[in-house]
This record gives sequence, structure tokens and C-alpha cells, in this order.
Amino acid sequence: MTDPTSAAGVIPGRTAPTTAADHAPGGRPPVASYASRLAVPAAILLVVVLILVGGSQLVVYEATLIAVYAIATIGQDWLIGRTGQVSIGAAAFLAIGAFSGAKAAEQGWGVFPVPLLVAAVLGGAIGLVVGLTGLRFRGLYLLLSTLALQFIVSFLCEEYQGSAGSFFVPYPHLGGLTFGVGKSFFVLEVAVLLIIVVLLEGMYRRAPGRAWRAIAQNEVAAAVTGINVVRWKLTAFVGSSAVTAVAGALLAYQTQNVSYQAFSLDMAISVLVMVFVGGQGSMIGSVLGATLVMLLPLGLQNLSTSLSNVGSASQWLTTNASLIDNAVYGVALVLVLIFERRGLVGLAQRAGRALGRWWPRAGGPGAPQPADAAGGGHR
Amino acid sequence: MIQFSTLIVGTIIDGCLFALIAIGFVVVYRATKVVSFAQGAFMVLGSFIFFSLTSSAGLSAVPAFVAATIAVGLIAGLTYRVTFARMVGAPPFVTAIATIGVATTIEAIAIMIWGDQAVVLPAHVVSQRTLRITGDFTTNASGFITVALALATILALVLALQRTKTGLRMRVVADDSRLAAYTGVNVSRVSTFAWVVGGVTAALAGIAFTLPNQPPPDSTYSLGLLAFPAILLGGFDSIVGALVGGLLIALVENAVVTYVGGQWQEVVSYGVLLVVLFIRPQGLFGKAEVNRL
Repeated sequence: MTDPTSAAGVIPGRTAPTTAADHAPGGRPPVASYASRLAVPAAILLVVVLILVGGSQLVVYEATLIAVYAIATIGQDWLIGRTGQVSIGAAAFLAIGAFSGAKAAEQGWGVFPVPLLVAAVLGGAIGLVVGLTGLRFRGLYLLLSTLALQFIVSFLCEEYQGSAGSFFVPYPHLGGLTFGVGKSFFVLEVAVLLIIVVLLEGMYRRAPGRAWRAIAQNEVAAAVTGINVVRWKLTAFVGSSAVTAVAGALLAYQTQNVSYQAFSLDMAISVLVMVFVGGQGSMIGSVLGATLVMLLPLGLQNLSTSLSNVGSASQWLTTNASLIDNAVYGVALVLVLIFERRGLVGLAQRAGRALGRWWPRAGGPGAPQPADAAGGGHR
Repeated sequence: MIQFSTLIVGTIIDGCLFALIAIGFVVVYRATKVVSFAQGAFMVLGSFIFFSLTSSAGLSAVPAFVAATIAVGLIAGLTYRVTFARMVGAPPFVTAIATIGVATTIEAIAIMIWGDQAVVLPAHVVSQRTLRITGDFTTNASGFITVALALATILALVLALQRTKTGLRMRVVADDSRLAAYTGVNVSRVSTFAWVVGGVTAALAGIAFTLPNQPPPDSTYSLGLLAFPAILLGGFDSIVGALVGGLLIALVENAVVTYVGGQWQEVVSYGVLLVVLFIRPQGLFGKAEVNRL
């Protein structure tokens, strides 16, 4: 099977496969998409039930972290995968959400959903500011301005933490219930995740989703076809930042403590890895990316335990665990960008087609379709 | 007055260090249009290889220096062959993100090999004695070495680009790589060579930073990121801009550290970056690219 991405010649200017036209035909989506529309929430629910029934404390803790990062990844994917605006601001928005959420949760009026809303509003407001700069510059310049945002937010959080001292975030309450960290908090978090997934899937399938996809492919062409580029770009910035900030607030609830040091450039890069490795422009991809990136350290831990009779190898694995993680993330990111720019989801779709099986297209009729399928005649 | 002289000397040395980092970035960007976040990782490699050659291998400073820079140059060229050579024509943000992946991997592997402790060079490598230039203006040998390296590298590159066949090919590729390919220039070879040069200059910068500072690898690595304001200010594709941008950002940073406080250093230079992005995104010496709606 021909791989369009590996066929890169020496001549630059070749159109990237992700930008190949994939205009969805008008009218009603095929019946299959109604089934696939429920696929993501259903799959998430199934896994969640399994974890709730059989998961140990560690499993639940890890699953909670995965859910938080899945929300952050979905938020960033809104901007990167759906609207085509590259940002390395994930950690900055997570920090904004964590600090504002923690501060709100300390107040008397900060009962459970309120800190998330505070985080969403503040994150969205700062996202609007970044979005206004994003109107001025695109591509690499936007990447650099979000890098600046990372340094500036990190600095402000450090200063603020220096003056305000450390935070203690109480357990969330809802009505008479306390959601202590553990299964109950996990359920709460999955509920937030599902709400976000359903809302976003709804938008991606309708006019806003088409507008963002058009902007991602070619802003000038989008404007020519009558899409209000400024409006939809700003919407994506605000929404994506708000979702990422909500993930930050949830993270503050889970760790019960907030420190600027956690929200480093490394964290921003991890979220970027989740977006790209899982598969940009796909909900399943975001969840998958978050899961893999968060599970890799655990896998290595298991490997080193099982190698404990080999002695030196096990010790080497243990002492270098976080470095090995980083190296693997880096290699995975590069491999994805070279060979399959739609990440694991794209890989799975290719495998599915290669096997000649029916594969429910992750995003339904509106999602970016495989470039070689759209182009036709690559098989 | 001592404060002022420290400010001036510090600005010149830091500015030349930024310039060294920026040159490699500019050479790579001109030839391959890759915005490389990996220069910091190559600096770490340069610093570590130089350390190994001077301490464990017991080489004296100059041969170790030459060997380390060549080694990093080759590694950078190899990196280009296995990764970015396969991504020719990809949108610029894709290759930029890929350089983040490359940088993360190289840094992680380097720390696996050498550890994350401060790199303390053996005493025979460079004298730490304070030298008086004039009046209150003092520095040590490594300060002179940094300035000399930066100026010599810039001079050599400018001359090579203007006077040699390879330099001519590099300029042709920088102008329009497709046209260059049509006129028979081996674009792939020129691009690889640009990455080798980028690696060599990054190693120079890494070693120059390690000589007086004993930095742990992660601060060498983040220096590669901290050079971005200087790179943008000078212009992505201007070698002279690298020096001017480096000196200006170093002046701002040193002034802020001297008169306001050390914690403001990073945030101020990134503030400058934002201002430059708004006012003149192509930088002082860069070519303007039309990429607005």
C-alpha cells in the first residue's frame, strides 16, 4: 500500500496529505455514522465501568489522571487538530485552570462546579487574548507566542505562589455528597469528560465544525466561501483554552495541591505528544493519546519489576525511568509526524482498510478522512 | 560604576553566546525552513562530549574542542537524514513540532549517558583567572573565548556564503530550494551540510556556555529555548541579525537583572519576543514573509 507521507521527494511545496480535500457531501450522513456517533462515549463508559468494578486503588488513580489529561488533550485538539492553529500553551492553560480553580475552591462560594466554571471563564478570557494575537500571526509565529505565554504564565504563577503560599484544595462537594479522591471523584471526572465529548462532537458535526475544518485547511479559501474566519478562530481559541483550563482545575482537585513547577514546558510537550500520537482531529485519538502517554511510565515500572532477576538491567530501567519515557515520547512524536500524521487512529484506519474490513470512521462524515481514500487511486 | 561595567561586559559575552546559538538556527532555517527547537539539545551534546574528552579521555582543550564540535555536527547531519529529510515539503509547524520530539529524545539519551549533574570541566581546560580589560571592565578567559568564537564563526560563515561554491549553493537553496533543484544543485546534500553546520555551531555554544558556568544539562538545554527572542529579533534568516539580536536581548536581560531582579530575566526577554511579533515579526534583518490573511 502506498504511503503518501513517506514518498516525500526532494522538492518542497508538496501539499501535505492532511490538507487533501475532504469536503463532506451535503445532506444526511450515512446510517453507519449514527452508530459511530455513540462509539466514543460508549467505549469510554465501558472502560469506566470495568475500572469501577475491578480496579484497584492505583488503577483508579491512574485512570483519573488519564481522564484529566484526556480532557486537556481534547481541549488542545480543538485548536490544533480541528482548527489548524499550532499551540504549545497546554501547560499554561492547565496552570491557569489549576490556580484559579484552587483559589475559587478555597472560597465559601466555591462549591463544586463553580471552580470549574471559574477556571473555564478565566481560561477562555486568556484564550481570547492569545486568539487575538493568533489573528495577527499564524503557524510558527503562533507557536512562538504560545511559548512566550508558557514562560509568562509560569513566571506569574511562581510570583503568585510566592506571595500566596501553598494551596490546599478541599474535596469537591455536590449536594450532600463528598467526592473524595478515589472512585467517586473518578466518576465525577468522567461525567465532565463525557459532557465535553458530547458537546464538542455535536459542534464538530455541524456548521461550526465545518468552519473550523475549512480554516484548518486554508484560511483564505474559508474566507472566500463566506466563513467568518475571525469569529470562528476566536471561538476555537476561547473554547479550547476553557476546556484545557477545566482540566487544570480537575487536576488541582485530584492532587489537592497546586505548584507552578508542575506546569512546565515538559507538561506542554506531553500534551502535544498526546494530541499527535493519539491522532489529531479525533476524539478517540485524544483519549488514546492521553492513555498511552500516562500508561507508559507504568509499563516501564512493570518491565523493571519483571526484570528484577536480571539485576543491572532492572536497576538501569528504574533509575532512568523518566528519561526513557521522554525518549520514547520524542521518538513517537517524530515517527507519527513522518509516517502517519493522523497518529494511531490513522494507523488503525489504514490497518482496517488493509484488512478490507469495515471501520467506523472516528469522526463520522465530517472528520478528516484518510488522504489516500480522499485522493482515490492510491491503493 | 562597577555595576555598569559588569552590565556592559555581561551583555557582550551573553550576546555573543546568544549569537552563537542563533547562527546555527539561522543556517538550518535558511536551508531547510525547519524552525529548530533542537539547538539546545545539540548544545547539551557538545558540552558533554567536550567534558568526556577533556576529563576521561584526558585530551587537552583544543583537540577536544575540535573533536566535540565535529562529532555534534555529524550527529546533527545524521539527525537531518533520518528525520527531516523525510519531511521535505511538510507544513512548517509539523517540522517544528518534530524538532521538539528530536530535542526531547536527544536530551533524554544524553542525560542517560552522562547524568544530570553539573558539568565541571577539569582545571586544565580553561583558566578562571580574572583578567582586566580596562578600568572596571574585567572578565576571564572564557569570556574572551566566547566573544572570539562568535565573531570568528560569523565572519567565517559570511565569507563562506559569499565567496565559496558551497556558500553559493546554500544561498540558492535558501532563496528557493525548488529552483535550486532545477538548476542542478543537490538540495539534499546542501540541506544535510546546513544541519552539520548548525550542529557545529550549537556545540560551540554549548562548550562556550560550559567553560565558565558548570551548568547542569537542563540549563544548557533551556538556554537553547531562551535564545528564541534573540533569534526572532534578529530575523530568522539573517546571520548578522543573529549577532545584533543576541546583543540587544542580552542588553535587556542584563539591565533587568542588574537593576530590577534576576527572576525577571526570562519573562522580560519573552515579553520582547511578543512585542517583536506584533510590531515586526520578520525581525530587524529578516525577509518579510506574507502570511497574513
